Amino acid sequence: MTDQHLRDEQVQAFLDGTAVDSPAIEAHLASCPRCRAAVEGYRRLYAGLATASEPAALSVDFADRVMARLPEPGGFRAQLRRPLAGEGIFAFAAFAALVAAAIFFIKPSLWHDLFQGLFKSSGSTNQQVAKTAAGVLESLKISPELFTAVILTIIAIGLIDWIVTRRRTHHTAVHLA
Amino acid sequence: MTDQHELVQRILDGDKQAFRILVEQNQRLVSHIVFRMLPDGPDREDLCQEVFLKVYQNLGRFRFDAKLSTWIATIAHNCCLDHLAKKRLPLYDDLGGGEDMPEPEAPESYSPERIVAEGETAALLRREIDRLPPVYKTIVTLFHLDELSYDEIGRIMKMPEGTIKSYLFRARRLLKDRLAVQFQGEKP
Ligand SMILES: [Zn+2]
Repeated sequence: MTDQHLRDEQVQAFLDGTAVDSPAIEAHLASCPRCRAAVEGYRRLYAGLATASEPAALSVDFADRVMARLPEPGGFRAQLRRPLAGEGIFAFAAFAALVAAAIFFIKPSLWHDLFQGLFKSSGSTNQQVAKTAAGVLESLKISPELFTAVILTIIAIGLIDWIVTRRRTHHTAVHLA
Repeated sequence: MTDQHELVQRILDGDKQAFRILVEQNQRLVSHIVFRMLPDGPDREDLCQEVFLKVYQNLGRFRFDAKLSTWIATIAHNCCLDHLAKKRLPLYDDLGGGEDMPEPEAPESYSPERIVAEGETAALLRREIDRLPPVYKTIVTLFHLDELSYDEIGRIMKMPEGTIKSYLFRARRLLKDRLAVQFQGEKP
């Protein structure tokens, strides 16, 4: 090592702290003024780079400009991005599903009546629709009771989610104002 | 849960002030990449804004498999590549001997006032960095100013660590040679 001068890459790696043979390099530097000068030259370059490599600065109101371009919280993209996990929405959903399942298994007739009631309330057209719907469900081997329970559960979850979203959006708007 | 995890969660929960904090923490890094990768022009700051809009839209997909700042820097780098491809601008023009390289345009960096203020050596160095091809000056800036490792720079620029290292060494060698008077070191 001592009879050979340091290569340029060795000098740079040494100063970067990534040289694999640092002890040997140090030993060589102790006895070689020429390589010490090479290290010193790079050391000064590094000191210069620590400041001179800074490009132009952003405008002082850069963050404001970014914030002004953010999509509105109620927007479609925000809806997609917004995690359902917030504010215990899963707990609500699980609770609603549990209640629906309990009613379904304990008292199926309740759902049956609801299903009938949805369509039979007025006119013969609705009865026709009810019959067709029941036929379709039967061919799919889905009981009308289960179908009604699922639909009502989905509506309940949607409603709760909507209320939570509205409250959060309102909060954010107030906070930003 | 780290501060960064908490910050991301707050943003995902709809807290816009948390996003402003993210912008302020990372805008310098983003500007270093964009301002180094793209030639001088008014669209550079616009692109920095777009980087953060992309970050906002995609934050839900961030899984903390890298540092948040590294992930943001990767988005910045990708935006630059898209922009350069759209404008058909070169990314690597040869480092070459330097004589045939065009002089950089940005005159404000080299005004006499500035040279007096920060010293001749710093002004010359600044000019020589600006003359490097985009990839080289980006690597130099990320290493010396943002103090990122070869590995982190490699992740951001999607290049092997060894390539980053060799580009960095070549760029510094070139700067040292071009500014031989300032950086030749003490002669024995
Ligand atoms: Zn030597």
